[in-house]
Amino acid sequence: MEKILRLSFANIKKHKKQTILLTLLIVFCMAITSAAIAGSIDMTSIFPRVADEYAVHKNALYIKEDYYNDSFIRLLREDERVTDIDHVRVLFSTATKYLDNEGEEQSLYMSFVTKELEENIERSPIETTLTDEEIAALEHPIYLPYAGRESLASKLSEGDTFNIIYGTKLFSFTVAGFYESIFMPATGMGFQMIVSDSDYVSLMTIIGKYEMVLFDCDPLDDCVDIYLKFYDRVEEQTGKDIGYNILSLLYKNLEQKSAVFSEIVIGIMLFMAVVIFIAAAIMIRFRIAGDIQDQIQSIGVLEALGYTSKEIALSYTAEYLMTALAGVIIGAGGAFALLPVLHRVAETLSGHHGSLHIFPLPILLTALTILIFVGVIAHTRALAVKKYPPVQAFRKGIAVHHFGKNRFPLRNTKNSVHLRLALKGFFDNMKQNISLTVCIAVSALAAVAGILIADLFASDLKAAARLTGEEMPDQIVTVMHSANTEELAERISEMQGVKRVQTGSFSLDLSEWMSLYAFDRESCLAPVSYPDFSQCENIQATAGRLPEHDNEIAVSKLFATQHSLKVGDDLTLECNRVKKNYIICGLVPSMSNDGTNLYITEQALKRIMPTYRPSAIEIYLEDKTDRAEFQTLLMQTYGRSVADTRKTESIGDTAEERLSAEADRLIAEYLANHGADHIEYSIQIGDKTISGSSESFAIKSVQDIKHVLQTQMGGIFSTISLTSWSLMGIAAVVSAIIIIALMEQAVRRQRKELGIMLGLGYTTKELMVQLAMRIMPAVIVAIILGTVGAAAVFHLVTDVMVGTTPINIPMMIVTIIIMILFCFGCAYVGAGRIKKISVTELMTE
Amino acid sequence: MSTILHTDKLCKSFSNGGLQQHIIKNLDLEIREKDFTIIMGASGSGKSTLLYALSGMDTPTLGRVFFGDKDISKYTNDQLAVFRRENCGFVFQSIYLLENMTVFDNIMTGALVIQKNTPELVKKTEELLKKVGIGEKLWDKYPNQLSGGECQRVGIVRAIINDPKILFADEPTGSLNSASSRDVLDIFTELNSKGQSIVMVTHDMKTALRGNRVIYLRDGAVIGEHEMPSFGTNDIKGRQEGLQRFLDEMGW
Ligand SMILES: Nc1ncnc2c1ncn2[C@@H]1O[C@H](COP(=O)(O)OP(=O)(O)O)[C@@H](O)[C@H]1O
Ligand SMILES: [Mg+2]
Repeated sequence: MEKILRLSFANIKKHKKQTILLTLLIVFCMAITSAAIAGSIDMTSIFPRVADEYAVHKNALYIKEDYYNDSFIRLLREDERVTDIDHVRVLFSTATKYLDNEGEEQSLYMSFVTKELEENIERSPIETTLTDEEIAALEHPIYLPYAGRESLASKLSEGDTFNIIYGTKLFSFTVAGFYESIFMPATGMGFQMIVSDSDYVSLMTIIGKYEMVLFDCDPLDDCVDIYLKFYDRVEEQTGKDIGYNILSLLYKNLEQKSAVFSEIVIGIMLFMAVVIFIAAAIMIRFRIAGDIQDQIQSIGVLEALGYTSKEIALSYTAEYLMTALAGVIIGAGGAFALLPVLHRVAETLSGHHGSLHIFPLPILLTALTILIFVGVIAHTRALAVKKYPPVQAFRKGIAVHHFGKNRFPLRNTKNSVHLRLALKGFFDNMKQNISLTVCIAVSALAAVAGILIADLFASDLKAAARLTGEEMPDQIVTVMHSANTEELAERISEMQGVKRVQTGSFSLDLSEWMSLYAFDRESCLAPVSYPDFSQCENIQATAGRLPEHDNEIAVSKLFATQHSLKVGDDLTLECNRVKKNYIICGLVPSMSNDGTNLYITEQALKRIMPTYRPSAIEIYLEDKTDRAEFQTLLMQTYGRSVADTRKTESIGDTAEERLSAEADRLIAEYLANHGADHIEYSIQIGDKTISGSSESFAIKSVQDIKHVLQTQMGGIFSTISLTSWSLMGIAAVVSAIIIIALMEQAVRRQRKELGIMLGLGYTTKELMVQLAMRIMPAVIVAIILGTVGAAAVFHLVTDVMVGTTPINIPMMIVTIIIMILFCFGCAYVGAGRIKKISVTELMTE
Repeated sequence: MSTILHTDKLCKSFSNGGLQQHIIKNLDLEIREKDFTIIMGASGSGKSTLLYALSGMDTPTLGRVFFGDKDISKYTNDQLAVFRRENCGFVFQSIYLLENMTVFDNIMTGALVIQKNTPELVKKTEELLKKVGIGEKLWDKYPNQLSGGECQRVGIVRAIINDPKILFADEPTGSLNSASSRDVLDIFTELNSKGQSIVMVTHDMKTALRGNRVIYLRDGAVIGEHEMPSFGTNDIKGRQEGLQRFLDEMGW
């Protein structure tokens, strides 16, 4: 055993650089794999741990106030699996925004509770740097989820001002602290915030009221099933579709959602680990094969000295096992360094804070797996030693036999002798070329996939816009129920700076969302309706065409794939127990709302939803129009609200002004609380007539959809760019290591030939180019294979999700050229080892 | 006859385990054009080291080497490589053919690095190979399928394919049997008679007889020089006795 180890050490000493490169690969592989596995266990367990510790109840339903009925509680309680129920009144809106550091509006779903209400939802402690006295002194204190400190466009800290905007109204709060919100903890899901009792009351006048029903169940896994039963029973009882009237935040779904980003990160990491491991495996195989060739004579000597070939093979295995062991140990250290980082990422992405749990078992298992793999690969290769009994080993060392075809004889040289010699060299190393091709192809695949993904989401919202399958107007106006949408649209279109307007169903305000069922109420679809789809710019059919007639619909490509639907198929839609048949006339690449967008003309929608009226106006502005100015003007003209009428400072001094203000307040009150549709007034004072109408209250909210997208997709964007960059980075590192290692080995193996060539007057530069060129055919084939592979995968994936996405061919060509140049550069650098060869040293040997 | 190569206080030393070993010491030497110069000396006296310093295979530690009036001692490795391929041909004791190439390609490899006209080269190579007695059926064989003598003849063709100004040979017959040796040496003699300058290292007297000037080296210094008429002249016995006397003087 000792002599075997001594041989191994001698080998390691001899190939220091190669050993370091291999160790590096194993360090990467180990660190990434074990961190990914241990990290995924830790990251996915954050939410359950947090929920166990802080949630008063594990499931929540937000039910719109005007839909809510106390009997719902009874319906829910009837399920025996439900163990506990509570309900609180909260404020919730999807049309809320906040001002970031630059004063830009950012969309964010918000719900508001008081401290007292919060105690029924969570029992999480509040983290704050302020003293009780300081907080008590604040006029409008607000407590945000941790994400307010960590992932908001403008990261906040205690004492900062947090401006919330609803319509044209601005509410200024001062951040008093942060806490763990179970149900609305992140920018992607919305913020639940704690405000003072008085602020709660004033917000209540404009922000929608929801009944938040909280419940626990046993077993916890049944929460989704319980909800679905409840859902059916509610619809049965009310005779009305639930649609978006109830928002469910169920434990199982929350758990899944909180882990989704972590899963993406882990997936990428595991993919990278596999790429690295393939590279390491190939490197081991080739190094052993090379070493045996190299040392065939010394192997002969060793065998003559009485070492068995088994012992010699074992010395190789031991050499790589030792290298791997070193790599695995350093890699484990790397994993321990990576884990807190991953944990932080998961906390930031999910918005939940839990302590880091390191699970040693997966790290240990990863280490063992890597060692076993390395051992097996090394040993199977090393057994080749057995093929050479001592005498043959001696002889083989002296004369390496070359038979077979003489490819590319030099007598046919046309252009450069260097190119020709490189080609000859290429064909002399076919086996190595195949492995190199595999390795580079996988790396190229990773890199190109990264680039394609990056390109898809590049130039800010291009891809996102295409993938939403929704129109991208400059502003979307949500119209009050009391107002006439078409009339208002007509009037807005006459305003200064407006290019065109379009009425539709698509609103960013959740409380306006409608829904239709399909497949016996198994699927819920969100109608996107326009009078005429030919006006649409962003909605395009990738198959068939957009709907024109009242029996036609188009669905998302994703939905069609999920339900195996194609153009020409029938789909039965259902709304409030009414069923109607439609023909699918087209597929739209849409990923928003999980592909549940349903494209249907106004006329067709009215067939199944007779009360339908467009609730949104999409406004396209001239390029020169100032967006913010226009929005203010628009809201002043048509977007007044109850809150405005309360502002005492806006009330003038004259009797007329006071009267009209009071009249406005009354109108707002009637519109908001008494279900009035249209109000006009005219008041006579002496010879003066003051008149007005509910028209100036026509707009409920205005939103800039591009902003909304930016905010909602922010997390996805950063995850995607992280993905792309890591894919490209790891591909570059792995290919560089492999190529450099291969070249160094090639130089070592062909020391004699290269020495002779130097003697004949070939310069080191010429030989470096020649050696580098030698692997280029394999590299080029690999890169093309990898690129085509990545493009195919990309095509397949996008085809399923959004329909055919064109691939940027010129960019692909540039990428291929850059990758080829990069590989050539690495090979040239690796071949630089030639400089160490001294001609005379060889000759005087 | 004009000088083609000369050295100025040439020194070459190697460090062996930290110990500085001076192999060539302050050596001044002239090599004349069209001469068949022989370098003799005991094994380890620094013959090969001198040959490689002269031929631009290696750079001197101190002193200078002039090729014509060009000082090649300050050349970089790549400049030396270009210098070698343009001016020098080499024949080695261990032959050093490229094992992974056919006989023909071995020669073409050396030739194509400076000559670009492939058809002309192919013709020239074929002629030369035939001239040294390597028949057509051997051209596409690999070196390990040839005998030592055949290999060395291929080596010579490779060395002269670029019409070098000087042909260097380091004990070219050292690993050959006597019959093969004679054949190989005949080629050298023939080349020299056509005007080829040759510098050859040997420690074999029979081989040395082929030259017209013998330089004797001991411990890295020239301790004697002997001139004799060219090999073609008839007084074989006289040449032989003259050389023998010289070598005895040198302590051979
Ligand atoms: N590259 C080298 N490094 C160290 N010592 C060397 C080197 N080349 C030659 N020597 C030493 O120089 C001396 C002369 O060698 P060499 O010129 O080959 O002698 P010769 O050719 O006359 O037999 C020898 O002792 C040899 O060990
Ligand atoms: Mg020698």
